[in-house]
Amino acid sequence: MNIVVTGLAGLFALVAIARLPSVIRQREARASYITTCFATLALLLLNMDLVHFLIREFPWAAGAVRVSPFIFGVISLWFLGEAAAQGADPDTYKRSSIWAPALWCAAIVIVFLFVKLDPLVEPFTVTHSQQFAGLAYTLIYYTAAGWCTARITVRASRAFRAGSRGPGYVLLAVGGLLMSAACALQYALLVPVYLGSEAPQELHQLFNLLFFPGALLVVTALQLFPLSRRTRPLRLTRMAARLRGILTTRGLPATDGSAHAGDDGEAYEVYALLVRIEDFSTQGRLTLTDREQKQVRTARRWVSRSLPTLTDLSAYSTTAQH
Amino acid sequence: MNGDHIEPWEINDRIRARVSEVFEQYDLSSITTPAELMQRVQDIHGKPVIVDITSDRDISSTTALWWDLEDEAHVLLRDWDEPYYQVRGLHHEFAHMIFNHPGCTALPNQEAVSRAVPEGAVVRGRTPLGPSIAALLSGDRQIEGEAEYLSSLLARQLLRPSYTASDRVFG
Repeated sequence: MNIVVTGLAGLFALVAIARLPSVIRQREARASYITTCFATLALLLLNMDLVHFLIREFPWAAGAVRVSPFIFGVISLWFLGEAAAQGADPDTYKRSSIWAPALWCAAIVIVFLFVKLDPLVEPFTVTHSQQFAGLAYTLIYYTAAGWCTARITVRASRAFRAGSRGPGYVLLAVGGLLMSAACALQYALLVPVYLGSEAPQELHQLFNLLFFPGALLVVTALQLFPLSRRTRPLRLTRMAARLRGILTTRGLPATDGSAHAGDDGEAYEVYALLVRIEDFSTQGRLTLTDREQKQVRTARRWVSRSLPTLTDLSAYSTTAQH
Repeated sequence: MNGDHIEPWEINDRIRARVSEVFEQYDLSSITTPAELMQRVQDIHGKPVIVDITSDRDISSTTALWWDLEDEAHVLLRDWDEPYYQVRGLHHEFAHMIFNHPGCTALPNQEAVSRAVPEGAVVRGRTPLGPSIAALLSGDRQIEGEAEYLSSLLARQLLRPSYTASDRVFG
């Protein structure tokens, strides 16, 4: 398990390093950036070798070392929910009250203070759930984490439905769902421990099979978004070149480029070239080969998915069928 | 395939300058959504604009059609066109309204157009056909050029890719 959590922490750290320039540039990127930083710390503090090393070196900080991953986890997941909401509807987005995660974290810390601590015992949460305070702080954490991850799923699904159909939102939604299910499972795992019985080992394995793949999907999503942003201009330039080639190889004039400069110029060019190709097809002056039809279909799919203001007629007015 | 292509519209520096002037005059750079554009066009044109969709395949050469009545304007689009192509036609007709262009005398003589449009209505259409129609519409090429160029600026103005928010938040 140490390898899994350290590997995940490494993946989150990579995202944090790669996105540093964009977070300096863009205020909107801060919420998801905070997620990557706190997720890195939370996962690192689930590495038992590191945790035991820290406790042996700094025994006075044993409680802080043990409770920190829970606090960092809540902060990380809450900010990811904010980022997903911002991505779903940036125009109406208003940050949720910071009091909700603050109160969850305060509750975890306050109850944790009542736990009779055996900082080097493993598995830590299971063993400490024999005490009421140990059970209570753990379940408060998993309730908070479950609420945060469910929020991520709902908001990422909303972003997907609103037209931001990048694979990143699908991964976020599914990852959040898996983690929510894992958090709910903790009730079935830990309450029996407090009551003096032991939950089946398979349930512990099921938790690991839900929680960590969920976290992996989330960090993959966080890597996909910047990767997609950085590779998009090249992909669109190639798409436009193929569409332009359909016209120029037949001696037909392509777009003049006069209205294509500025932000998202490549996206506009793909749209304008498709219109041009449609014009010449309407004239009967352009018959596409199978290969070209495939290229045009690919471009159409991209335009339909990515340029709603230029493809959704219902956004303009009520239409009537004749 | 051919070297004799004749555009049904003419776009030159003078037309670009004129279109830019109109774009500025009506503060079209402040528009951010399709609904705002529709509202602005209705305000400029002074009457409601109704979008109709036809399945009449005889309207094969005209990809979008505007006809104007006393108290309302209509834009006719074809149901078999791709949505992005319909929107381009719509923007083209919006541009005619913004410019307050006069009607086209040739279009109502086409049978399919006369079937779709009430008698006496002012008519103008987006007809991206080759030499024969271009010759027929030769007097209108500048008007069509203004509409086509303004429609490209309107599309550019409304370009709001769905990935922009994700890029800002997660990119």
